[in-house]
Amino acid sequence: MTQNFNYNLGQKFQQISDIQKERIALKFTNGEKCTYADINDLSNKIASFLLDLGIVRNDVIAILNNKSKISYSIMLACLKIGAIYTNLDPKSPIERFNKMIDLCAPKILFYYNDAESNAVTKEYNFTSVKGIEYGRNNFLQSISKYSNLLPDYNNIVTGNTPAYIMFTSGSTGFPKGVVITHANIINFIEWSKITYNTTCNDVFTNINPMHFDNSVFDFYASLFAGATLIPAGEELIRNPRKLLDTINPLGPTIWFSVPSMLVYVLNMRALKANDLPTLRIVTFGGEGFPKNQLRLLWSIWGHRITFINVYGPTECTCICSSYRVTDDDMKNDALLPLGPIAPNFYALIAGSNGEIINNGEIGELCIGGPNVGLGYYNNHEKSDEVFVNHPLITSHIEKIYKSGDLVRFDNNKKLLYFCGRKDNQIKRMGYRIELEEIEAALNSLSYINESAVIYLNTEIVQEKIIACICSKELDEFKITSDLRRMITIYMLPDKYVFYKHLPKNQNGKIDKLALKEECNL
Amino acid sequence: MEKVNSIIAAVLKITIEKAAGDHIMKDIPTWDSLKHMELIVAIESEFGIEISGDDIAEMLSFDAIRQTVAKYAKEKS
Repeated sequence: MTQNFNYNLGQKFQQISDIQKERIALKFTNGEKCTYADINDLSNKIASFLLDLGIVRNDVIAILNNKSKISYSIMLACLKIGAIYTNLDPKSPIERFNKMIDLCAPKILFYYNDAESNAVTKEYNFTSVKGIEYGRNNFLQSISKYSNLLPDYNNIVTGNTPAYIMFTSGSTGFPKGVVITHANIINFIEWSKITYNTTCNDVFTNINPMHFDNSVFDFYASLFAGATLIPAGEELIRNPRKLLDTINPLGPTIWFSVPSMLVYVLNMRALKANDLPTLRIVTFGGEGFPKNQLRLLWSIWGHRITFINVYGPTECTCICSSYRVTDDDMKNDALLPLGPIAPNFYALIAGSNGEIINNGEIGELCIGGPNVGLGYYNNHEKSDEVFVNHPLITSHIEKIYKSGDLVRFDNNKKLLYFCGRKDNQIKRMGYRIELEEIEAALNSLSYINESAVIYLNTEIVQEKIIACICSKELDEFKITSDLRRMITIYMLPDKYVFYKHLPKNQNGKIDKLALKEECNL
Repeated sequence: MEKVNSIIAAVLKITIEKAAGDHIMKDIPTWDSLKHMELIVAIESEFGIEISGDDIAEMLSFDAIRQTVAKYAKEKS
């Protein structure tokens, strides 16, 4: 008997769909359902349509993704012909949006017609990129003539073909686009199937926005295991009680979100003990879970639902370690362990001089293995800084990713623990923010002479981004409104502190430690 | 209700005039889940009240926020 060798994701999805044509792939919150055959046929038609437009392997396709049957099918269509999709945030300010478009130069921008998508598309100048509105009937009409079979072109899509670009904050004020390949994701899918014991009876939530790295888990761990996905829109997510009421009857079995989303559900007093009776796993990652809130969630769900804490940089395909939470973890106030590194990965911990640490001391986590991405799209300089050769291997080239995360490894427990960041990156709602990106935006305003952005999360000041500025403009509304053209909402400072001159240290640099002390009042 | 308007304006970084009007969550770009939590915590702390989950679920517009606070303030007095 011949077995299929699925070396790309297009083949893999085709095979899953061939086996379980009539099973439900997508369960929408309005009650609509969509089978594997539905989205497979639709994605094959879109794939042929794209080829007809002259799209070839390695071309970039940008998507403003509204979590619809068509938008998921566009992603699958790209995978089938080796085009690189990138889901962009429809709420991006236009200047940031332009930077991402300039960087990845997509051949097509797929968008939909509603207020959210329009917010960016009405300001965007479609001179260099072909725009296709996919939410209208005439889009479905225009692809109806194409075959619903997998195009032969799929054969040339190799494992090392890029699958997607995921944008993340950049310290120079320019977002960075992480490039992840088909082979990276195939390894990720196999890991997730084993770790979560996924079957085709599982039902995953898709709460994470598609432009956010955590959605990689939602999409690939479900649809590439023959399971079902429940797409949840942003408006529903804003109202956690309504979210739970809506997804309760859809029978989710696996929930993945940032801890902030679960904290939001708890703080809004939205969670009832009998919510989500079908749920078997709640998994969270992207940031640390505050212990008090985790204890509260554990007290409600811990007796019947497995908790899995996951960790992984965008550059290493979403997740590279996982840890199953136990009762013992509730007995201390420390952050949960990141877990052991996942199989088929390895971790090195590097000291401040690049030396490898094996003694349990704190150092920078460097990750190697088949989930390490190809680097940053059109940004060799940044790629070379963090995608480096394994320092102990000189006979050939083996790339590792320097995460910037400071960790320690407990040799007895065989677990990694997060200890902080090497740089000024912070997390908010799981989103990575380089504080320098906010400074770059502030410094581009003509009325600001000097700025420094600090982040405080202390007993006195909780989770606040504070902009310390020397500014001729003192109206905070005006400054916030100007910043909104350049940075996304979750990056906006919570507070402005006005200075005549920012304090400097002995080297003449802005003294951020002094600013932190002054602001922590 | 001026106190409520001031809290809305300060948390969402909008003018007091805008906060005094009626807007829904979707209309105010800075009103995300993080700010929503901040808003509820600030209101509870300012008025010394604890709002139920069902009532919080309805606080998705400025008018709804003012009505909820008025209801709790009345119950308290």
